[in-house]
Amino acid sequence: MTAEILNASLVETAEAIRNKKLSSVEVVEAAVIRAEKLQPVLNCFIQLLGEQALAEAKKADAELARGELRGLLHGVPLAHKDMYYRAGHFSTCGSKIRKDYVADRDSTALKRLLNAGSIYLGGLNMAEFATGPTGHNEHWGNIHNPWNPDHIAGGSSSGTGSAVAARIVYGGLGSDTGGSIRIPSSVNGLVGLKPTNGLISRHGLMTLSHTMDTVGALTRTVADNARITAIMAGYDPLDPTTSHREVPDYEELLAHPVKGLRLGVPRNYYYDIITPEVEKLQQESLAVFRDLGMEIIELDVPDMHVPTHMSNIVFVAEAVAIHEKWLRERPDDYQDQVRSRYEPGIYLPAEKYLRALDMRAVLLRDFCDKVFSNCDVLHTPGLSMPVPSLTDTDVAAGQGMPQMVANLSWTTRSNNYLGIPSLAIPCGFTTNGLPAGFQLMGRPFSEDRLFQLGHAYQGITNWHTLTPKMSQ
Amino acid sequence: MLMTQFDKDLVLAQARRFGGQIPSEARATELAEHLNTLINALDMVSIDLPLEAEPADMARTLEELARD
Repeated sequence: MTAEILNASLVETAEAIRNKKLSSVEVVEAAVIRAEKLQPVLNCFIQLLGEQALAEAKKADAELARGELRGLLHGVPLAHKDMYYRAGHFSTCGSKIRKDYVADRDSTALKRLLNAGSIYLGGLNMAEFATGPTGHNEHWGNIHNPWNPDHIAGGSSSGTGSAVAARIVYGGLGSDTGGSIRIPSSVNGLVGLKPTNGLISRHGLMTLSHTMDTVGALTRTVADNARITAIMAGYDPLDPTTSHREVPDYEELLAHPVKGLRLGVPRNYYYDIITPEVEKLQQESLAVFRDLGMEIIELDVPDMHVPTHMSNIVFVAEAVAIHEKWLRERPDDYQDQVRSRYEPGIYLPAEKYLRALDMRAVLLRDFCDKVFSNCDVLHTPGLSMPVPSLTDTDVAAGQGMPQMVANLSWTTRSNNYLGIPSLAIPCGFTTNGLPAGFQLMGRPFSEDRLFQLGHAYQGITNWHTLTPKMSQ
Repeated sequence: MLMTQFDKDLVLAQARRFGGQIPSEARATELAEHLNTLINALDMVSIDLPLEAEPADMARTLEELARD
């Protein structure tokens, strides 16, 4: 029964609770049982709050019995990267430095999900301070991939990727500053959205790079992601960088036909380091879109090394601004890989940082002119290689490790600088039995279109319905 | 060109002033090379552009280029 409950999608489960075919208590109990069973293997939770979640589930069922529905997530358990603040509660940010930090404010994104009726099952493990694409964490233990625990869960939203793929929860929040939602989505076989900068409030979460941080969800289906995104999106007076534009009803628009739309495939950069078997899966996914009636157009994109370098400049400057005091006073309380990522920011001249920021709009305009004047959506690989093992990406692995780790964000890093939306979608498995995925990118605020394409793809493929053995 | 050239001595001098963990000479060399790569890329792409962006420029451009 546990498997049956937890293998359903978020949308299906929410409807089952709403129609009283399932109680929230039944669903949360199943989630807690699975979380307790798999935590020793996956280490995806930092805080598992089973008792509190069950108490909330009882309340949710009582409300429903009285005819009160809080919203589209009524009674559904979710768990989130442990950096979304709840006033008065711990938020470790995956670090030693903040292991006792008690938040003084609520995250707007999380609050909107709670107001829609979701149940908070716990805080999920993550790369230290959301820095790192593998899921290695010396302070809270490494996070493991449910498809094969010897392999990375990706990062930095590692625990979210692991817990959602393991069918412990139906979805959860990650954050994405250079690929931290899309990389764990790709390596765990999930859907993950890095939204347009400004679509979702960043108020009340740990800041890493304030101009490039974005909030988004990891889910199993595109429809689930559309629901969560619609609930979180929209202007927030507590985050003045959020857009005032009206949020479309993404779920309502999912069935919009994709026939006749133009899907761009880059000739340069994105396939430069891809391995043959991952490339084959990309081609197969493009064939699906061709079958859906889309026109596939090969095109040249701008030199993506440039926005990638610019994003590195902005990242190190902004990260050091946050971490300066701790880097001076507590350098040994960081993992080496994390401290070394921030280190260049100590030496970077301020005018270079400001000039890199100035270039953002220029390079965004150039990218949109060159790419989206020729296609509606750009299709690129997610990860360029089969999902590596934890051992191969560990600091002890030796010379090739830094390049391998850098290559994990080859296709993702530039989009946070450019601010455009990107949706990761699973598209099969490599011979090592681990998932692979592709990425769809669009113009600013074109999340509705990315969801349409992803939903159409999942309508005629079954990758998102396959379940890791440990969750069957 | 406006290139700023870092070398290990400049990195180490700044590191001593900053405090915290002082990088090894090898690490200082690596950091200098990394910074030079980033800064040279920035200088090359921006050198001929008259930049005087307002703080809201990026947000305005995102809205302007949105699919409506």
